[in-house]
Amino acid sequence: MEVFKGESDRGDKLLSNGPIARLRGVQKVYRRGSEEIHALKDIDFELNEGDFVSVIGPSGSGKTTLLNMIGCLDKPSAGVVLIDGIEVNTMQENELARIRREKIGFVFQQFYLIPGLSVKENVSLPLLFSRKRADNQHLKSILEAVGLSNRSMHKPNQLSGGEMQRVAIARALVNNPRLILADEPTGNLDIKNQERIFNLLKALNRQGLTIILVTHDPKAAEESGTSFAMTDGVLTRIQSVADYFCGMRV
Amino acid sequence: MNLLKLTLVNVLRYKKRSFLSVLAIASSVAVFFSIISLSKGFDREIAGERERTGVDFVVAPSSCPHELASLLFYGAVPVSFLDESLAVEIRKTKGLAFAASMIVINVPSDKKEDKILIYGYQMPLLERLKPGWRIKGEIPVGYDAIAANNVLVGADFAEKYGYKIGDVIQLPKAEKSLPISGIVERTYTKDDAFIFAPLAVAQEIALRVSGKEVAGVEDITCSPRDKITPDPISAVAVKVDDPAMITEITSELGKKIPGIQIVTVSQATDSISHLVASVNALGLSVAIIAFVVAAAGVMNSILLTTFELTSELGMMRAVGASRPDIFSLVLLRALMLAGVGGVAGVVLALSGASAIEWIMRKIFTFMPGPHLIAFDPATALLCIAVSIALGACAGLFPAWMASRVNPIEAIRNE
Repeated sequence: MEVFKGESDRGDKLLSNGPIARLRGVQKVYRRGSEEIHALKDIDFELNEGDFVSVIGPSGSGKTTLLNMIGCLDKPSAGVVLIDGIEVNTMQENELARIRREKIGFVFQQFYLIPGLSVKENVSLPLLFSRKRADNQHLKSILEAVGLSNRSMHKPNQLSGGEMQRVAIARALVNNPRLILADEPTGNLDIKNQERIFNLLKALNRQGLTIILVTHDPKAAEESGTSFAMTDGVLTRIQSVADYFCGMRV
Repeated sequence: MNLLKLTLVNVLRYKKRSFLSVLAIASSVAVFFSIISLSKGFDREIAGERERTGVDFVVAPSSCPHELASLLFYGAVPVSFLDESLAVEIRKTKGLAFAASMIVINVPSDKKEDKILIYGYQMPLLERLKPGWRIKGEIPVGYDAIAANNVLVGADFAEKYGYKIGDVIQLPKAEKSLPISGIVERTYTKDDAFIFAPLAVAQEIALRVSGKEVAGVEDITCSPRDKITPDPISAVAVKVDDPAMITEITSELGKKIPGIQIVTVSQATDSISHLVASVNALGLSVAIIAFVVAAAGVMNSILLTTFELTSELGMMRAVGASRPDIFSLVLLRALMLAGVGGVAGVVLALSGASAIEWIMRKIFTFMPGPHLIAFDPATALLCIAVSIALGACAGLFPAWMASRVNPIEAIRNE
């Protein structure tokens, strides 16, 4: 089932010129009293159409900060962030919300489903903010893709953890984003569901969707196309995830 | 899926909290609606009462205006009497359609401790005095009817004691038996509870039950309170030919006859209206306080919910909700609670209208008409609009707070 249409609402074609996300010299500094915390240090990073990139690293190393930066939820202290060729670090809040609506889908460790809404309604939530009508055929194809077509009218409390995360992935897909940012999406799931969610992300990537996955799971990182390690705010591309984790154990 | 449904879902997620917020708003709206409706109903009914009262003014012994208003509309018994010869003096005034003597007396009945109120009227003038009355049976007019002591009774009085036309009311203290010749159909005023006797019959009863000394001829225009005039009357009800002449005629009467007080129907109704307006003002103050308390409750409830749903709000921001979207979502919740509370308040007030009216009629000696609190679309819309405006005020701060939620903080993994 083809879910990902690979076309944004504004008609931008997939595989447009240039990377989907580009960070140049990005720094993020937080202040805690007189102390300065460098969450990101001079990050240069490019993400091209169809990439499946994993970011690994210990807690507090800056992985989520990087994801927030690419996801237009945060602004850098220095450097430039370009999403689909557009510089976003100077944009106003409402423009950033529009970029998030049109180009980015988020998947979180917590599912953040709304209890009183059905699966279908939870999935169509982002459409509400894009002022778009839910197209039943589109919703059906997305739910089929995540294996929940028979659960569309169920409420979140009638679903398993794995199913809830699949609803969250469907919600991230509903606006036909160009990029999925998944922040430890399998962190709350059992092994079987971890595998299922990861396979789902891989399937979406095969259809052309660009994915950044923040994970602690070595297997998931290994199976993604490209892996980066984040250590104390420094992003490094790694050739072998196994070597990285071995190095950490040493 | 739309913003309304999403708001409804969030309202229903916290059923108890939402219910309490709605209840607080509904209570304040119910008070507000009742006060406004009572005020409107009172004005409407008092206007009708003016129409139904076939007189322009009443001449009575000097007393407080409210007592005279009560005499006119309710049936209070004045503390002192005039002599009927006063009515003769009044009738000499030019421009009068009629001047009808009347007496109001309170008499112990044969029904245990009950006291009954008897109005004595000049029965030939009854149809002009009470143009709205419909009577089953006969009006006791003429020598035979007076000699037989025939009377009319109000519908409530007849119902309370099970009297029918032809039954006889016994007044042991007055040593009188009063056959009922007619029953006044229900007027939804205090008249429904009275007996209406020919003036001469009522005067005789007054003399028998007063226990007071009969005044000398020199006292007749304004008798001392421990005396009763030979032909006692409580007041003279006057109708003028030309309503534009009322002021001139009352002024002339006031100069001509000392010791009397003249109250026009307008003054009487105004006197009662002022009293009710004071109570309404007090009620409105209570409603305003209730509104403030309800608004604080709604604000507190929505703030609490907003804090509890911070993560979800963060998620919404991440999936593309703008700050105005979040602001609208939270504000809509307050408006929904206030709107439902407003409608519930109107329904509550209408459901409890009978009880509220019953209380009001217990408090006030005179309350006109059968239904003071009636459904008035304009009043209902006003109350719901005030409620929604209140909800908007209560929701603004929580909505602003929610729109400032930092999505990064909100969705930070715990």
